[in-house]
Amino acid sequence: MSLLRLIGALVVIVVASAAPARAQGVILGNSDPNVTIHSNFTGRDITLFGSIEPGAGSVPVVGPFDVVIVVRGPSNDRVVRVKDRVFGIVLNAGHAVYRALPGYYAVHSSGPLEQIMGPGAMGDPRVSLPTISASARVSADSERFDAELVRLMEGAGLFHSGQRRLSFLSPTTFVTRIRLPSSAPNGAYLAIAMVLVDGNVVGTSSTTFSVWTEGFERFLSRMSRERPFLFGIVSVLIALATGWLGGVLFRR
Amino acid sequence: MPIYLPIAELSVDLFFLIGIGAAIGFISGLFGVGGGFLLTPLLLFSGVPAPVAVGSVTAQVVASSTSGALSYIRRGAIDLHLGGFLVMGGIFGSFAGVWIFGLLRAVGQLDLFISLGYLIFLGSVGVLMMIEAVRSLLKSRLSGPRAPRRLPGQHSWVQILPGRVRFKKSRLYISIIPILMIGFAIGIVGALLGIGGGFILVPALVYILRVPGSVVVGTSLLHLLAVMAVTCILHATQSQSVDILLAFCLMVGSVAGAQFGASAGQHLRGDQLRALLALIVLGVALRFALSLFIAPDDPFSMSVIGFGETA
Repeated sequence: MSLLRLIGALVVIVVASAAPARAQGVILGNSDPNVTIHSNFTGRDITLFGSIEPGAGSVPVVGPFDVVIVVRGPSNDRVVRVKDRVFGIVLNAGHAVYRALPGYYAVHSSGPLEQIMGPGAMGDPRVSLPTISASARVSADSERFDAELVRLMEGAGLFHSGQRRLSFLSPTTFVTRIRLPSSAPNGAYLAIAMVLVDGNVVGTSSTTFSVWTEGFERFLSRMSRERPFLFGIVSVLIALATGWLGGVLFRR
Repeated sequence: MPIYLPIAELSVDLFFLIGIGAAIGFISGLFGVGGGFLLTPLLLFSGVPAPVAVGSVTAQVVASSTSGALSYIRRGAIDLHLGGFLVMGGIFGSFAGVWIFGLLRAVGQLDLFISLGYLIFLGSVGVLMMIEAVRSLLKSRLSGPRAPRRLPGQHSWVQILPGRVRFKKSRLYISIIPILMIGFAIGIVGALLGIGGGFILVPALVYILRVPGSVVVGTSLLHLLAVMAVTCILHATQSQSVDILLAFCLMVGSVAGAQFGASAGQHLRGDQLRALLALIVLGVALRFALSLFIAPDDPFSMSVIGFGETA
């Protein structure tokens, strides 16, 4: 429970830092407040949609508006290792540790980030995946791992940047679809929409959804972590029963 | 039909799992071996993380040796006294093996160790089996059925060790030290590599301890069953890496496959079977050698640091 509370506190910090402008003038919603992972889960899309209210809050009356949506999943600690040849044998020769790295991070925007947010977008901790990775790294002198981490996370579908993946249905309503892979971590996800005019954030809005592994699989993974000894004993009993039953059925 | 494995955290096809279970079961029925030494590599090569592959195969080995062990107990073909000492050594070995497993995982060299371990282990066993099989194939071609090989002389280093105990069923009066040592060694190897170790244990019992043929297979199955059950519980407790859903799919396949393997084995000759098994073993060893000496396409890999791990 304390872990959940910690995540909650982190989420609050993220919201506070990501929302210099008052959360007004823009509304964000999502299609699935509860995403469940089933046994045949191979990944799932969820739709995020929103609307801008020109003239409300600090949003100017006329556009054109740009929108950036970031989706952040629960954090975990990761290690990136590099294999190298040592005395002719290929082995793990170096590593970098990343603490509290977002387990899922997607950045979707209505156009190229540098056009929307200015040249600072490359180092912006809200939208730049390499910057997010670098700030989570605790191993010194291993900058070369940051780009690799981003590449590996993108390969696993856990990091995603979709410039132009966000589209406008009208000048003030926007929609995007984000893909959650089967390896997306369980927990609370936060989506933040930032509305920009001429490179300045004029309004933000956020929405949350949760991802849970459901049913028998969830039960199994929870038991394996919370009652490992019992889990081991039950596994052995299942094995004994299956082996015995097989012997009876086939008359070995 | 994809099935989500909750501990391995990946989706695989259900029929693929049952299929490799059945293939391994067929081979284990055909050759009379446990199959763990092929199943763990197959899982590793299909992308299952090493801790999960090793942990889950221990459960599968328990299932595949249960019915055999039961039938040997019913027939009275097990030396429980000798088996008890073997299992005792094996349990200590299992504790040691799981502890080393955790250490290797923490320093990030588990994959390397497993590859090296399998290469050395399967490579040497495969070469020995091949030499033996080729020799007996040649001999039977030259001079008909070969004479049963005589066991080496009665006095060996095993006889002079202290702490001798009389084992009535095996008609042995030997020290318990080599028994415990053999059990311990097989326990360590089993916990580290995810194998039952039956095909090292049987020769060890026959050639080192001189256990008579009537009880050797049953006693080794008892050791396999008990030590793998303990190893499974230890892996579940320490690394939380036993995927029972994965193991169950494999069990179902292998229990069925073993029946077909056993009946197919009756139509093949023993030395041909051994040569075939040696080829399979060498093939798997070669695959590990390739993974050790050929640099991967992507030298970088990423993993989540789990509970209690340091990196």
